[in-house]
Amino acid sequence: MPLNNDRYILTAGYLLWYGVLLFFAYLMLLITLQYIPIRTDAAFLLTKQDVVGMLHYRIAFFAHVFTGMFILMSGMLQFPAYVRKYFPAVHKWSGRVYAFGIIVIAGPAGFVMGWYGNGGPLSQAAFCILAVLWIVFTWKAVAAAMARNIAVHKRWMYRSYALTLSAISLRAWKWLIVFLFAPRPMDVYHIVSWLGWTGNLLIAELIIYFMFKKRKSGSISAAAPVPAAGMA
Amino acid sequence: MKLFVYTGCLGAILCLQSCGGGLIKNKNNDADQTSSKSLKSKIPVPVATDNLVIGDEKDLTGYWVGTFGPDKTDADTLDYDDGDAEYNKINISIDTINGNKVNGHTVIAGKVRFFKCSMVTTGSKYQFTFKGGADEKGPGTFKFSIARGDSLLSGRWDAGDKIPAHSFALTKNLFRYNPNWKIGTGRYVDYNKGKKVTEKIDSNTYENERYFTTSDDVEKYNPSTEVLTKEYIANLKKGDFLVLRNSIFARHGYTFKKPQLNLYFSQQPWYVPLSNDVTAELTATEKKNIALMMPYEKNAKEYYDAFGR
Repeated sequence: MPLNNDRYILTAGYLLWYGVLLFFAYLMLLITLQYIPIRTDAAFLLTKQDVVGMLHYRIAFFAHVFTGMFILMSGMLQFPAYVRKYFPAVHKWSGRVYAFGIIVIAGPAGFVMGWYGNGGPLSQAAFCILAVLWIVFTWKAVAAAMARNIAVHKRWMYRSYALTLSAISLRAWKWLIVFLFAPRPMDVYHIVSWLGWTGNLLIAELIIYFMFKKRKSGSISAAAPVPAAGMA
Repeated sequence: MKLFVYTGCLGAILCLQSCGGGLIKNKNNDADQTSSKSLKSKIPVPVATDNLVIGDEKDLTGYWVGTFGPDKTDADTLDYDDGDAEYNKINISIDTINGNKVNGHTVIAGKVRFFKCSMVTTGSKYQFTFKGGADEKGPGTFKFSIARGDSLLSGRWDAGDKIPAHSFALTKNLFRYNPNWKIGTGRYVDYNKGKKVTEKIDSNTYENERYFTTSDDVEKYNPSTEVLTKEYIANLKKGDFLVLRNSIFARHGYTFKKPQLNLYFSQQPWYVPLSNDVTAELTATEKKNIALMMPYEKNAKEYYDAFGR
């Protein structure tokens, strides 16, 4: 295997990307841990006191929060070419955890949470659409994998994981906007409820576009690792 | 090889553990004014006549309220157009007068202090002298007089050479709670804004949090007269919460320990410091609003500028 500068830069880029991703995943873990043991008066739920009394909201919320971590991590395992090449079983099984988590648990739960979301109809619409697209994209990826249509499977996985990462990007946007402009809390929320996932989806589409364009022109061989970097 | 590097990377990330917590949540170290601690000794309410101008001894009992602070030298006053703006309010309550025996209490900056003294009548003047602390450190002496036919209680608080004397001129205040009192006269501003300052309050050292100034939103609704909507509360910042919630307590005469709040409410013309516990006085509307605001205020303090939603 020839080791040239390009390859080093690429590897360094991947490592940096996964480092950043792990750091944010760690922050997400800390956010999740605030609700253990089951608490309805912590963090985000402080602003949900009017709906937290409803059993189906509580079920949806805790299901969403506690599966979120597993989805984020199992999704991260999907992209490295190394794992796919040498540990196909890991790819397969973490993929099943990922898809099951989204389609059966976190996606529908996210829809329920979006339905009762803060910020009025506009933000509620954003979160409900996000939940529906998340389920649909993930299902499309699963269907393509089962049909052994790997190129299509890849595309839908990029889209699916872009939406998964909106958990991080929404919070990062919020932090940045507050840091820069310090607006009122609900004004920020209106912005990030849309910006949080549409931005990611745009980046995913760009990655898909350029990746497959390069493939066709043949400038990068088909064996080159799929760049997992760039999202969010 | 690559896996090894991945593991190393994970290890490095876990080293960030110590700083991670601060990114998702702020420490909530703001000493709260809403304490439900009940006062052991009940604060007496003086029987006051409606006469604001003193006719005889009966008119002396009541709340005497005005601004109170260190006397400024000529050099200081050059900086201010209105020296009173920098002052906090004081309440000297003359509770009972029996012959020449006087019972009373002072309310200054979150503290209620009881005093006993004798009243000396010289000519048309009633004179009072007693030992008692004020907002500054060290015991001091209050000395003041009220003249018959006058409406002013004027005097001085002295505490030796090292602490500046406080001169004051107070008027009798017939306090009647009014839920319609509005907060106004400028925004609440933390004068330490942008800095982390350590300050000593009641022999405790606090690392003072930076506060945002309030927005005009705080003057929109009155939490003492109307139940606030969720939409309104959800969009408030922590400075707004601080002022809005404490305005409820201020209307009932809560005396504030926190210097900025004390100063802010002292500038409200209707404000009279009465007690360090007004929990029993709160109306149903006010209790409801406090309960509504509490979780949002906690959220605004801990999570507004953190990584989270």
